[in-house]
Amino acid sequence: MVKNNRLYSILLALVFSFSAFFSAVTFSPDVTCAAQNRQQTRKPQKKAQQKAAQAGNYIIDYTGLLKSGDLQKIDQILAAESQKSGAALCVAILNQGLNEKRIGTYANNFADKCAETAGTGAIVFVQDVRSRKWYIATDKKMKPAFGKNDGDNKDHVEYISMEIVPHLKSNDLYTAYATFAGKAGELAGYYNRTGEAMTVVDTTLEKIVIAFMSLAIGYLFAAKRRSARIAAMSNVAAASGAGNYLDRSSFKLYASNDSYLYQTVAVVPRPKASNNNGGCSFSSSNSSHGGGGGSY
Amino acid sequence: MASTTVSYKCPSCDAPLAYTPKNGKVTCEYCGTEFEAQVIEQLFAKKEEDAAKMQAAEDAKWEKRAGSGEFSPEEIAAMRVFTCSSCGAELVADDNTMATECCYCGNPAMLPGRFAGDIRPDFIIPFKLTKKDAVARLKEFYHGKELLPDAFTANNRVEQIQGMFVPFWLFDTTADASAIYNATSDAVLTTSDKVITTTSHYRLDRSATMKFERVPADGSARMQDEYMDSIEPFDYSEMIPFSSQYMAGYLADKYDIEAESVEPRITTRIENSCCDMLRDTASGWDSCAEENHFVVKQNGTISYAMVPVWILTTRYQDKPYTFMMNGQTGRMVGALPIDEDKKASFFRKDFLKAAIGSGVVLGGLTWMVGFI
Repeated sequence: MVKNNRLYSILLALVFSFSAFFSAVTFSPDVTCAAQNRQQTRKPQKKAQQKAAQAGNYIIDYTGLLKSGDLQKIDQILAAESQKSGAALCVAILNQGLNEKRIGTYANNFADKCAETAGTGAIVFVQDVRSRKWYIATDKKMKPAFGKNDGDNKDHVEYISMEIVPHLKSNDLYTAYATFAGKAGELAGYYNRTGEAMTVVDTTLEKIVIAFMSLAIGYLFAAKRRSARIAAMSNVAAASGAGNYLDRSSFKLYASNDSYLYQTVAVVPRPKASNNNGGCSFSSSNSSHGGGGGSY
Repeated sequence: MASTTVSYKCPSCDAPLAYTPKNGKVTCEYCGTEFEAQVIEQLFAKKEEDAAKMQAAEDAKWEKRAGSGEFSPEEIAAMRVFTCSSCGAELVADDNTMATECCYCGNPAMLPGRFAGDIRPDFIIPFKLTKKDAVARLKEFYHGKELLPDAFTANNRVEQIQGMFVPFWLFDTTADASAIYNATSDAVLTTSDKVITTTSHYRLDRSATMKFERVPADGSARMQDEYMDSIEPFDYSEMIPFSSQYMAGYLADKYDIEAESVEPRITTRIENSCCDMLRDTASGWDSCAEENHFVVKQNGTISYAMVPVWILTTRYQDKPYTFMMNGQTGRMVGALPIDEDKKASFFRKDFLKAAIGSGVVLGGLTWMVGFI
């Protein structure tokens, strides 16, 4: 009986392994990534496994938050944008309570796996509904699409996240992921066409503001200098005081009373230090990965 | 016959005498003999007395001539005729002239009738700086004035330089000043989500007495008040009891504005200084605003002094420019002409420099913080 049980367990493991391998090599980057995630983050994955994961070709939902129809629609959008841009655009929805560092690592691995499966570059969006954190990551191939330098990375992450995070806050996941597909596809497509990262910040307004400020500063400076020069041409002025003729030793302060009257209190709310409006507040980018994340 | 004027002439050679600031003596410009001021004062005391009497007689004659109708009563009231004690020429001076020079022989002429009795000044500050010093100071005054027309300095000739004693009223007073201020003190508490500012409001009462010594105001209508205010201050440690000998070689006017007329100016100046002093005692507050103040002057005395002023006149594009120098301290005051082309040119250069500079800095900063 014991022998039979052991044989049954081995057989079941072989079936799961075969099934996972078959899924990975056929079409789905997300499923492959899910397998990878099992190796990387074993403990949280156990929790995720407790819920039925829904997966399309480009999206995997470990939370069950998305309706089946919505998931399919999003998957189609992601597929269309991926094809159009020439990069795999994938989404993973977790319920693991990952912190900033771990969600970054998870997303980087997810991006690598997606890229490997699709045979193109990849841009992925990972959302953890428990810790309310999100992360956008690229694989090595798509890293330059977010700028040549790490310093430029933030602008491109925010170019996507600023549009998504408000929808995450309002729990409109469908719109959030559809927006991700559009924005990430735009960046990836531009990079694949031109070989350069897209300029995501319109600097025209800043340049105009700087030009006007420079002119204003120039005018004020020149006007002040002109006033000083004109003032230097004459030193004729009526005397306003008689301080030169005051005998300072004669000064006697014979009354000095400070009377307390009343008190007023003003309370001004402080702006919150944490950026939860879609701005990129942390990053796990390295030489092989671009991207960054935040909270919502 | 006695003259209405007295020329201080050298007892040795009869040449004109003049007060020399450098050695503080009355000197003969011809033979170089130097005299102490007191010696000259004693020497010419009798002559001055006679000249004053003679002037009184001349004034009576002048009243007679007024009937001829050649001058208006106002003109007659303003003019007096004197006789130069050196050449005998008739000198016409206004009612305020105390010392002048003969326009025919150039001799300094003192009019003793104008500084005798009640209108005798109490003090005099002798000239300390010479005509040469005044010219040098004027050149220094031009220095560094970027808007000064080049032609003004290149072709500039000082048309006239006159050393003049200007009548000043000096006010001594003790002021009793009080002021009330509204002051606040802030205590700021910062928590994680708000900034709480607690402002305590106070009323401050301050009262003090202080003494002002010899606050000056000119008593000459000819002199612009702003110019006379601007040549202040004077070093009163060098002020001495009045002696006409120090006026030898200089022009001098007696006062024609009464002390009562300049008192409001003095009062304002004293009030302002009192307020400044009281305000200094209300320090250390986050904000402090004066609600009201009042100043009462006590024990006021007024003295009459002659102070030395060099008056330099120059001309540029047919317009006269007058500069005045404190004959004691050397402080030069005046208003210079402005070259409009230079003004525009400097403005353009400054504008370009600042606009380009700020553009580079702002662009750099924007780039650094990642806006671009």
